[in-house]
Amino acid sequence: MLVLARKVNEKILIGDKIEITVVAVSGENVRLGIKAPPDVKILRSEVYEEVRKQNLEAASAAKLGDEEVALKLKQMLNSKVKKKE
Amino acid sequence: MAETKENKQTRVIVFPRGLPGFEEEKEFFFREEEGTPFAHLEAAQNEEIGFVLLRPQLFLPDYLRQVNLNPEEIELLEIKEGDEPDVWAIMTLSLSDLSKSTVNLRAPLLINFRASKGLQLILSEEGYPARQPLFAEPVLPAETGSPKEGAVG
Repeated sequence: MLVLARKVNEKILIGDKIEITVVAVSGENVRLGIKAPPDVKILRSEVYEEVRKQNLEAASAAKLGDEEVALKLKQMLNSKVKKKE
Repeated sequence: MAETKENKQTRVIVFPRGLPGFEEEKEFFFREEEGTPFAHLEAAQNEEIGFVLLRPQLFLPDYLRQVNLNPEEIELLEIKEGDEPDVWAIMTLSLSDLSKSTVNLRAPLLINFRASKGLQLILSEEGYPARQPLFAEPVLPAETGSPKEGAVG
């Protein structure tokens, strides 16, 4: 891994199109500004992990939830939706 | 369950990247429950892996009204002119208390039925929760905020 030391307002360029600026440092928090083309996906890395965990949980609940449970939930949702209409 | 897969409403959808947590599963059976906002997604190679899906617009009419896909995602979904991907959200049932069930608005499923391709998109906008309670009013990010602003925080 390349490690660079930067001060506030200093930048890092990645390729021609991505620019990262250290906006502020406060204690343990670093605020970064990122300029990148719209097709570059920028995510906090925890987000992918969160979605992964959520998928695993959703799949195991869907497996355990029998037809009756699913039916009941649907009725609850349908009545909620109808109330809104 | 075998006979339901023969059902004409069941479609085989290929998720070329799999889904986070299930990266190996590429092929899924998709079955929409007619007359309801629900659908089922089941891994073709493993019927133990399944999801209950919900049409999120039912609760949030403005949710993903326009989806900004990058060229890679457009290619993956094989989107051509006139194609409008369908948007679905994965529900997490809370079996001990159904009213605590949630829906994942952070990572919707996009399905291009014409090409039978699907993708779980992880939105970069902060503010769409991965665990939106189904029975609470959603808190939405500001309408006009650009994704760039959403990423600051």
